Amino acid sequence: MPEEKGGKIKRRDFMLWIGWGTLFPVFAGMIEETVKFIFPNVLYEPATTFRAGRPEDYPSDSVTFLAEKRVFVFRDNGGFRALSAVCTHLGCTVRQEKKGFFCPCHGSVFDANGFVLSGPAPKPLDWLSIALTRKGELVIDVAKFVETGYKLKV
Amino acid sequence: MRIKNWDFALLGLGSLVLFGLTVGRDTNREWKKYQKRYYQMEYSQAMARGGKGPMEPLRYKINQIMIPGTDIVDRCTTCHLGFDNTEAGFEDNPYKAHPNPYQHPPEDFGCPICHGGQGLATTVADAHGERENWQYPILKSDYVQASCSKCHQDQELIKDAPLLLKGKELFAQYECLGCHSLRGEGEKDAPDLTNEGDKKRHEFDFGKYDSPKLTQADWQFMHLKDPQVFNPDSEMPNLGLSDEEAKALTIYVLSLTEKETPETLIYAKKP
Amino acid sequence: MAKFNDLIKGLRETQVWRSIFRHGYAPTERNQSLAISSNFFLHLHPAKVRRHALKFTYTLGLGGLSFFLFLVLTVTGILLMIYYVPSTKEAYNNMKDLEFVISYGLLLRNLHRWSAHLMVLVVFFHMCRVFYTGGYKRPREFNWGIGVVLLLLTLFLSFTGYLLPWDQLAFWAITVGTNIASYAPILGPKIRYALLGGNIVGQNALMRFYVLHVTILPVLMGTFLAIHFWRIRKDGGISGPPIEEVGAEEEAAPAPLKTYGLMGLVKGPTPMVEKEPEDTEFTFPNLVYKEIKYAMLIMIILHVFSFFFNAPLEELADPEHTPNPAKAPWYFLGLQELVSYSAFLGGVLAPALAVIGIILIPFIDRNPSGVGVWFSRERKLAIILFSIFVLTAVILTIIGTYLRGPNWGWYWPWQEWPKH
Repeated sequence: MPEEKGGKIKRRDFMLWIGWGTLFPVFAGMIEETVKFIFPNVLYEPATTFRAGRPEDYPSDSVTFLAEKRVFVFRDNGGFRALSAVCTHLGCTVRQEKKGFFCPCHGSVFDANGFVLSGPAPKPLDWLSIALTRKGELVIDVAKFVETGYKLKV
Repeated sequence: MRIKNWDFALLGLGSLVLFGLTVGRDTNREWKKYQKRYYQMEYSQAMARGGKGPMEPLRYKINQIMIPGTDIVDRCTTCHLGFDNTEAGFEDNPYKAHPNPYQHPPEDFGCPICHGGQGLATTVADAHGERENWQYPILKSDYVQASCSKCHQDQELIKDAPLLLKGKELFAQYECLGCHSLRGEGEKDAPDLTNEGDKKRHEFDFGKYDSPKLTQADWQFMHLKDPQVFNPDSEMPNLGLSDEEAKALTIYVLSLTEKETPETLIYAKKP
Repeated sequence: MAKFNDLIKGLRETQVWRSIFRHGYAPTERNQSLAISSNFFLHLHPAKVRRHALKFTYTLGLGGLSFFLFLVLTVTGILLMIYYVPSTKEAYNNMKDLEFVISYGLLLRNLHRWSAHLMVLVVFFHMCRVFYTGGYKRPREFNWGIGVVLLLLTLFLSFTGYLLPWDQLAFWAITVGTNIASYAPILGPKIRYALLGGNIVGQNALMRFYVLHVTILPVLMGTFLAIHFWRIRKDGGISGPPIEEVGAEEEAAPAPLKTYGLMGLVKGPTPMVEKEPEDTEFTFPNLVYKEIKYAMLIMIILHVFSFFFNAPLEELADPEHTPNPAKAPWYFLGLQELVSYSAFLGGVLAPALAVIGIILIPFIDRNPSGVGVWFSRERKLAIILFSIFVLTAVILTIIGTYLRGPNWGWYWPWQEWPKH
């Protein structure tokens, strides 16, 4: 790199400074361009909200597993509730057993309301937003969480 | 040292300027302009209604409709933001609200299946199909009716497509099949019309009228009004059609397609 | 400021710094040599190069430029791979996504396409430069052959590359290209079957051309490039006039105090041999800065071009309609013109003979004189013959590009093409 001599930068050194001084921002900018390129602006993922059929499709006092969306839909006297099947530990799909849910990956155990009974899971299973459309269909949003205990009355 | 570094400095500055230009263009994409204007219009409307407070910061986003069960994707609503905003009542495109949006919910059908054009594009010229590499320009206003029969194959059902029905009647009334053929019927003295609606823009000879603005619909309409307009040697008789009749026949002819519509969208097969 | 300088000084004395940078920056001869020999990227170069090799008018920088374009193509190509799916259903839509929704997607695609075009041009010019300066002569016969292989690889890489968007150009280029291959004697139809992975142009063909484009051909290219560069060093640097003719005014350089290990065993003239007149310069900074500036210039040109012209994309591949005329990119139009007379003679025999002929040039033309100068008078015949070949290629390309219209008919530029 150019060195100062007697407090004055020599002319050719000054030119070198300009050259590298412009080239490095361009390099940095190109890295930024690349990062922007890598992050997609649109996704082809399925929408987080989906229609889950009509309420009467679900028998009373039943649990239905929508495997594709990884959601358990419960229907009981109190109404409908949707419980995420995504383990809060590292994202495996939990399986329903007699009393609750078991995660096959690292052995977390949840009760029927999603509370952690044992294992490494840090928090309860998520309760998902569930609502009715104006056409009378159930709509679930896997990205929108509601407070534990929320039920949709139909 | 013999190196003169002025050229190095100059090249560096050049790179920087060019880099700025590239970033500038990529950041100021055309669709952002339309989103900005829409949100400003929405904001001033809210102000006029007595709203208060500063405008929310703009969040530019490409809107994309994917039709479940098919591989059809479109991004028309990136600019046509007001398509479901019947309350605002914007009257001019691109923000006009779609009449009766719940008959064909956009999340189920998207836009290009009826309107044509290039759904993946996000610039006006490309999306409306005014480019060489996209041969199906949008169907303007009434010409949209040409698309109804893609899904409503029982034509009785199309009460909202009077021109299409009229076109079909005229097609029988003028005995077009006396010369043309259609799906194996009719005579072979004139071109087969079975997939007339599938023809690409560049398959038409616009003669002296050639212009990228003219579409298949324009060709059909002008040709029906005056069959010799593009090709003086055409043997088709001049039927003396009124504008309305020519339009109806154009719509019918454009609806003749052999392309398959995704099954989930076909009306009769829906429960 | 003084504190800042102290800080820098301190930093330079840390073990970490010293483990990365082995030498100082002060412009001593020792540092200038170390800048090349202790740098992984720069040690491709010798520490000193002959003066004539630095002259722009001698090399036109074409070899280095070809390599730089290869690097640009590698970087942009790898980035494009992130979004590209080699599927007949998705490839075309990927191009649309790159253009319309992915940040800098169009820029990268443009850069990739235009660098590829430029690389074909530059590699060809490089070959011409080496011929006209007699660079292929003893001891560089073998490296000339490697160079011809690199030209062929460049052409195959562009061919496999422009197939990937799966537009009309892609589809009909694969159709025509693989059919040309089927005219090769004995193995022809088998080659076509293997290239397409079947009998029709479809998903298998696209996958195969993709694998060729992103793995097999680049790996071959890298390997042959390495051999090419290695041989340049082993053959005594780039070609130049014989050392006696240089007429150096300076005293012979003192013999190096340090022996250069195996370098001592290498035959032929190396720059650091005693008794030779001193006509060398330090690679750093003389050559290195030249290379950097040249690379910057090319990047600027590529960006300007990419800014104003988008990479071509035709309609989606349509097996039912062949476009009329169906033209390949310009660099294949000479071949297309030849093929229009006879698929076997023009598509197989003529190119094969041309390639073999070019590779054999150094063994046919054994006249050792005229190395290191452009258009030496001592090699009139060779220059005339080669010029005829180049001119034929150029004329055929011009005919294919500008004078052929629908149905491959002859149209002068002022004649309008008939519609349909």
